[in-house]
Amino acid sequence: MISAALFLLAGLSIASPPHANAQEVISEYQVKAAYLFNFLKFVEWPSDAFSDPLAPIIIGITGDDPFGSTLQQIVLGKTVQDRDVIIRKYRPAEDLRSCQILFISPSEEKRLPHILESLRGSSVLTVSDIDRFVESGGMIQFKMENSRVRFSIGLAAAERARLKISSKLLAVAQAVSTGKE
Amino acid sequence: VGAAAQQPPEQTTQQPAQGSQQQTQQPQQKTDLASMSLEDLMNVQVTTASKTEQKLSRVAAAVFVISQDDIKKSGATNIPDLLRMVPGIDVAQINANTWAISARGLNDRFSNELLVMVDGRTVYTPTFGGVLWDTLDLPLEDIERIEVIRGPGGSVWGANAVNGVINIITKKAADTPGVMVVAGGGNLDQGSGTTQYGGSVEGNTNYRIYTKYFNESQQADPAGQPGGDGWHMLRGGFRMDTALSSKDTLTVQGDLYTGEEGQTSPFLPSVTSPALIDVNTQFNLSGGYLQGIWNRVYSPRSDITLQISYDHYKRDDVLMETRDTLNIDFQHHFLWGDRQNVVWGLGYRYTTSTSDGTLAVSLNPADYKTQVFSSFIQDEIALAPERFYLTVGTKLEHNAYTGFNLMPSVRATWTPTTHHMFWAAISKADRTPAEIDTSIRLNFGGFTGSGGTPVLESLIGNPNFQNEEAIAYEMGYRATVSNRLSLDLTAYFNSYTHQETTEPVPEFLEPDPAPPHFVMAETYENLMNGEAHGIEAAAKWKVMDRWTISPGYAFEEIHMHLAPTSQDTTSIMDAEGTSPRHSAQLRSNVDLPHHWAWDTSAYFVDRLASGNVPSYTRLDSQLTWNWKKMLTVSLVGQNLLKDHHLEFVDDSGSVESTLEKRSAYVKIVWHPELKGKSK
Repeated sequence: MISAALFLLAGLSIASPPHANAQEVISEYQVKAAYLFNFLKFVEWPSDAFSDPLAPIIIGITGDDPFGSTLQQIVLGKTVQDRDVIIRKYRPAEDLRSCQILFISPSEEKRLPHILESLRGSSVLTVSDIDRFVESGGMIQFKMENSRVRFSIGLAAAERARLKISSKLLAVAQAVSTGKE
Repeated sequence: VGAAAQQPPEQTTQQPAQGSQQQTQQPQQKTDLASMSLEDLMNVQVTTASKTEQKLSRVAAAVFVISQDDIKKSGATNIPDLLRMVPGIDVAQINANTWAISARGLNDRFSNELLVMVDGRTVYTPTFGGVLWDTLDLPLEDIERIEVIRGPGGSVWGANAVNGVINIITKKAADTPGVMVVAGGGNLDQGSGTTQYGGSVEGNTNYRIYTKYFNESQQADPAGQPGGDGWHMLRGGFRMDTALSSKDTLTVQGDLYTGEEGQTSPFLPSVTSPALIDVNTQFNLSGGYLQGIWNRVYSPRSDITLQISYDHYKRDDVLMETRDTLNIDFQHHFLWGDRQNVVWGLGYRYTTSTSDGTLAVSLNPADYKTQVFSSFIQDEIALAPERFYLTVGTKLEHNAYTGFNLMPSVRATWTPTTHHMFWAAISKADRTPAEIDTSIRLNFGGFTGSGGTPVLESLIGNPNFQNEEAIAYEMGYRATVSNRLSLDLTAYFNSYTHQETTEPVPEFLEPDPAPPHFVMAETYENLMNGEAHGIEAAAKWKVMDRWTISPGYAFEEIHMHLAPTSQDTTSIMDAEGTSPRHSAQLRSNVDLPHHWAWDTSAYFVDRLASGNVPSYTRLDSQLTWNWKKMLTVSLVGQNLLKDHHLEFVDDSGSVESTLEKRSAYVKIVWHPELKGKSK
């Protein structure tokens, strides 16, 4: 009877039947994956961020991949700014500077300062949902608000990386931090 | 119906976020996420609580989900009536405010093998090890869904989840914004209503507060006399959900209630009275709970939950019981490697109670303080991701009466194609002694013995009562035959050992209460074994776009045998004869033009040998009109086929039955702010 309690939150909880109100249930990381893809359209990279004019845009993931197949399905067959979009999962200690946008998984919280340090001087757009990511020098941090995914932007860090973030993205961000730390 | 069956795996969009190995198998999304704009994305509501939810297509158990839509269409006004739609759940109303409810038989007013929870909070009372259905209430509009699992949940849920687990999950506060007013009345419902307000503070905190009241008139007893079982109750409660950080959520909820109800119960004037007499009493009851649930998500692969609840109730019925219970539960869930999904947890319960019974019914000792420690671990192993899963687990629990109990289980699912799923399970489940098993004292009346000394006939609890044990073998099949038809079939065999019997004890002399008298008593022993087998079927068939029918059927048969040393004469009948051999449900839901809907439910319940209850069919029907989602008006008829009918006779004689009468009511639900919103 006792630990009855929480188990439904974890193990055996059952998704409510979708027919009920025909309302589709979308998970947090499906939405975050869609955001990642959207960010590509609102950020301009310096030309030296790509090895050649035809090189694809690389979405990198470091740490445990929370997206599963979702991200792959979203980018499949898509082009942005006339470039293909591909996904690359980095192993620990691999050079992260080869991607244009890097998602830092929550599993990397402890290594975050090291990861950001290793990107210094590069033009990689860093995205994460780690707490205080923007304050730590990250560029886009996902935040949950009322079961909705929102984000804030660390503009100073993005400018240092020579990234141009469109005003449209800045307008919908929950907060934009311009402070130089 | 077959909620189980309603959810074809390919439609399961609820991402379990259980690591990539499952998600890489995830079928195409229905929503094209790639084409969503920033603005769209900002408004998508996501399920953060589902981090560790398991897909229904993978649950190796007999699962039935009652959705909010099912609740609306049922016309039911209380939780027991909602459970009638689940094949394999036996729901029988004894009087206006008392029910006997069980899963897979062994039904009784004091059924003790079904575990019921509200948002993970156990609503079990250790007095008899079951549920006080009269005080289990909340605004039905706030229920997100009710998950019903027939069969043992012992390895995870622990003792007393022998034959079933029911978890009532309420909506998040964010999902019940604004004002809601519900008002109703009819011939049985003498006036009922709910008022609720949901709001938010600072964007990250949502809350709702509500009050609910109902007043239900009395029914007639089998002789046609007024049953004196009318009741009314006032309840107020709240729920608050806060995101403390991007990783932490806190839910705080609670309620308080006060009410009065009537019952006809046995009373014994003195030890020399020849027999019990039935006395109708009106008594007060009150109580409430407060609970907090803190959840921290370390990563999509690991999260912890801490749940603390405090519960108090006071019932001025024959036992005059007051009880306070503290529950603390901790749980950690994590993905281990690519293929293992592990959950483990620790639990602690402390409960303290006082009682002041009558000569007819009392507890000895009258006051209790007990604690239970528990732990469990379960590992779901993806032997072949999306195709074949094996789940092994065990619970280890310690209680004051019988010490340590180990309750292991093994479950497997096989999904050869996305439209078909087979599952099988073997599990051990124990029913640990409740206070009435160890401490009850019932006096039935007396006669003058051969030497002129009075003799009192009694039933006395046994402090050495042992666990009742069950091993359950189950298998099931769920299928989506087409996009209009789904099926859910289950078969089970239960082997019961050490079941409760009543056995004579040597006569003894008792000085109190005066005059001194001999006691000719029986006590509880564990001298009965038995088997139960049954099948349950549920289907959902969308006959036309506007018309859905949901049939269900259950067959159950129980055979008990006494040990050679037993002298019991009643327990076999009490076990075998208190549940219907056949029961069937048929629900029809029609969406009519111009925002009208017509929903009808029929429930057939076979005769019960215990108490000679004839078979009956109950028919409920409701006509609903909805105006711009803002206003819903329903006209509901219940028990339409007969003027009145009997559903159950309590074999312990603790309460007299009344007859369920034909009734009708009108209900209005008003959401002034929902106008035009698509919510």
